Order: sequence, then structure tokens, then C-alpha cells
Amino acid sequence: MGVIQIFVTKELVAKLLGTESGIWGILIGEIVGAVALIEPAAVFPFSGSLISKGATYGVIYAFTSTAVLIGIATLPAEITFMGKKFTVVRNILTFVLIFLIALTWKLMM
Amino acid sequence: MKRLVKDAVMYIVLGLVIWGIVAVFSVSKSTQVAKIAYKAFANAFWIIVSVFFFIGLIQAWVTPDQMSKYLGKTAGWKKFAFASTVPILLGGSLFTMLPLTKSLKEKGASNGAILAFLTAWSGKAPLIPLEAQFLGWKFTIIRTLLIIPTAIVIGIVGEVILDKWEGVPVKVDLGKMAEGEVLIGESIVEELNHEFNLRETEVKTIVSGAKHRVEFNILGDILEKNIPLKLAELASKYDYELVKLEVYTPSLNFSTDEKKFPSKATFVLASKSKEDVSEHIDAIRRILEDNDIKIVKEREF
Repeated sequence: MGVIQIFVTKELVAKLLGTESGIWGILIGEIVGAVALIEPAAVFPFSGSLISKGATYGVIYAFTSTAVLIGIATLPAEITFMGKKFTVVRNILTFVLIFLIALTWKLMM
Repeated sequence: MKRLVKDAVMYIVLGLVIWGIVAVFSVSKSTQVAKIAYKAFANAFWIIVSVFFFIGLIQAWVTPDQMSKYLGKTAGWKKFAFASTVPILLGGSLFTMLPLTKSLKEKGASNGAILAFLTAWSGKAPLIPLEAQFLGWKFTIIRTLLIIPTAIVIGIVGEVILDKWEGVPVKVDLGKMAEGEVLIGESIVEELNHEFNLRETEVKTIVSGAKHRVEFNILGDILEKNIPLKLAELASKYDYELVKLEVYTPSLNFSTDEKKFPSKATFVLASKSKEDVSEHIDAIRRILEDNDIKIVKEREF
């Protein structure tokens, strides 16, 4: 846990999310949210700082949602508890659905 | 449980190895890592304790039957009404939710309900003030409201996919099985086939010709404990007919699965005489009780 938190630095995430805002921005937001292991309580302050750096709300939605719902670090635990198939279906479905919602959000704004 | 402990030990060892590698290259970073890990653990500790408390409550009070009534496959829209809203109120991290969802599943909640449950949990009501402070009320409200339809969609779509992939609860219809359709583990089907080799029309004549009919709904390790055979033996001993036996098992590959799910079954006792009925029913109740099978419903018609 600590290891990921140190090496996926906030500066790196901010650089990735702050500049891109199109479909790529959403995708990157989701992937970063899934890979970076951030405490749920820390997601929101961090997202707030991203907004001030120029990230759009659609990207932030994608990022916060996947940060909470999908985690590379939680995958092994999820497989142990709920089974491989459940884990695969849940994570992929969540990823796709969040992408679609974030896209709609972006188009509506 | 053994596997769980083994996995946990593996992850701890893996974490320590990575940490060791980090320490070799940079001492300052490794102390930082240790600090963060300690903080994360301290934060998680109380949440874990409270979640396990809840699991205990569920294990003690919620029966599989209640669970399948509200969160099971047949619960319909009810399961989503609960699973897409209530978890929003919960806090904690995904690590702490997984043991909870596992115990829900063991108690008979369907995959769709659990998918909706986990998705809705990302609403995180305890963190809403924090979210609003940093991202504004508009974003917070839209995001929280979006959680509910998202959870329902994931629940419905996920259940359809998982049903196709994992296999749906099987309905062992003996009328059909007699015509050569194999639905579950071959040896069990053969046994059932042998003892209750009845076709639909024969079943109807027996039921309508009987003087007294009682329908039983039972729940427990029915196939594992060989209940159909035991009931059949009983039936031939007391000379009544046992028909329309239907067994529902929660998972297609239950016989190879190490996890245990209770199965459900329905059968009809058809007596030719009215006088011996209470004796027959008593015998059935005894054998079910001896095998820890629960009688959910008993209905005369």
C-alpha cells in the first residue's frame, strides 16, 4: 500500500489529469484512479486540487469513482473473497459504465 | 479460512519483500513507506472491527430464507431497492467491504444484489461533507444521485453475465429428467432418476388419486445428505407415494465447489389412506430433523 502511494506521486497524477480533458482524459482518469491507491477520504481533497489545476468535472467523476470502486491492490482480495469471475465482471462493468457516464457528463457540460 | 490465512501471509511477505527492495535503494523512502503503511493500518483497524461486528450480526440473525427473500434471485426489484441505496450510508474501504459481501453471498444474496451493493457503497455518505467542501455541492449531489441508477444497471447486467458464466440455479425437474435430460452431477441424477422415475402424467394421476396430499418446502444440504433417497426409502416402508420432487441447487457446479450453499426442494406426499397421514408426516419430519434439513413450508391441499 505504502509503496504505491509513494511512487505514483500526486504530481504525476496531476500532470496526467490536469491537461487532458477529452475522451483520453476520461480514460486516463479512470486508469489512474484504478491504479493509484488512495484512501477514499483523501480522494476528494486531491480531486479538488486537480479542479483548480484545470481538470474537468467529467474527468474528476471518472477518477473519483474508479479510485473508490476499482483498485489493482484490491483485486487479489476480491478474488479471494468473491471469486475470479465475479471480480472480472464487476471491475470491467464498472469501468465501462463509469466511462459512459463521464462521457455523457462531459458532453452535457 | 485456511486459504484466507495462507493468502494473507503471502501478501504480507510480498509486501515486506518489496519494502526490503525499496529500503536497499533508499532508506528515507522506506521509512516513509512504513509510516504510511502504519497509518493506513491504524485507520483501517476500527473499520474492520465494526465490519466484522456487522458480519457477526448477519450470521446470527439473518436466515438464508430471509436473505433470499430480500436479496436473492427471486426477490425482483426489491433487492435493487435495498442494495442500491442502503450501502451509500456505509463507510470503509473496499478491503473491509469484501468480507461483508462474502457473508451476504453465503447467506443467499444474488450476484446482482451484491454488485449493486458494492457499487452503491461508493456513494460514501460519511464523506459527503468532505466531498462538497472540495468539489462543490453540485458535483456531490449529481454524483451521489448517479450512484443509484449506476448500481442498478451494474447489478442487472452483471447478473445476466454471471448467470451465463457461472451457471444459474438449477431446477431438477424429475418429470423431465426421466426423459433423459442430465442437469447436475451425473451420479446424483442417476440416483434420483432411479428412485423417482415418474413422468408428468403419472405424477398427476398419483396426486389426484391420493386421499391426502401434503406439500413440503425444505432447505439444507439436500443432495449432499442424500435426502431424496432417504425419503424414497421411507415412502416404500410406510407405503405412500412421494412425487413431484424438485431440487433447486444454487450453483451448477456445486458438487465440485468447496463452498457450500443450502439447496431447496419441494415434494408432495400423497397418501392412499387418510388415517396414517400423521404417522407419515412425523416420519418425514424426523428424518429431515436428523439431517439438519429445515422445513420452510408445509401445506395441505
